[in-house]
Amino acid sequence: MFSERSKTSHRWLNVSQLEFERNLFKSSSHLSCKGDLELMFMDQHFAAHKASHDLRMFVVANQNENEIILVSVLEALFESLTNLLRGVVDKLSALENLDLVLLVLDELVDGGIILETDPYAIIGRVAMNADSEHNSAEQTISQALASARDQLSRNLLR
Amino acid sequence: MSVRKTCGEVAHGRQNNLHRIFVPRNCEESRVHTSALLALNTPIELAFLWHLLSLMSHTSLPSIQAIFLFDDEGKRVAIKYYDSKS
Repeated sequence: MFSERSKTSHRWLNVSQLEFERNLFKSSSHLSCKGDLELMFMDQHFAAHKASHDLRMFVVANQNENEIILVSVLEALFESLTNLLRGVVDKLSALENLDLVLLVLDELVDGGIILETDPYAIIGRVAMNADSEHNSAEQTISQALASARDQLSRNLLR
Repeated sequence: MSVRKTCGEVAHGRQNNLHRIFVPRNCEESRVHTSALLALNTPIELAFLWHLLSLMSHTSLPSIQAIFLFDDEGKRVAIKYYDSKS
């Protein structure tokens, strides 16, 4: 019974989320795609909107929250993505670098709490994470090469 | 009738005597005063902590509920929902 209830509540949550997203996108369709930042009020939520090429970004908060904070979060997101995606913030580059986009989102907000609004600090942390992952991958490759070399030398010596 | 005590019992008795609580002559007044002095900090600290906790519960940080990245057709590119527990 509990599992059924949790399933239904989860389904309801997803449906409501999808409906909310659809309504938000519909209400923002008349807004300009020239990179202007717009504020919208919908279903007791504030949403800050910014479009770049074919990508639309939204930051949503409760109606009681300060709009300036929303705007600063969205600006930080946009600036970080612009720097990390080399100046082209569109759907294709966002999908190609989805790991960086998700890292930016993680460094920006965690559990609803705003962690950082300085885009350069966010970029630094994201780049650091990417470098550490890159280094670990390199280490594993170098370790694999070293072990292969050892095995070859042993076989040759026999 | 004399009761013989072992060395250990004697030593233990001495220790008990040494660790007996000192009660001054004006015992009642002094005891009240000491307890008042000792307890003085605790209620103030508790009250201060209580005040801080109430402040923390009333002043919440600005929270973000969701971040969406959609394409021009409204399809999801990257989305994040944040649970606001407050």
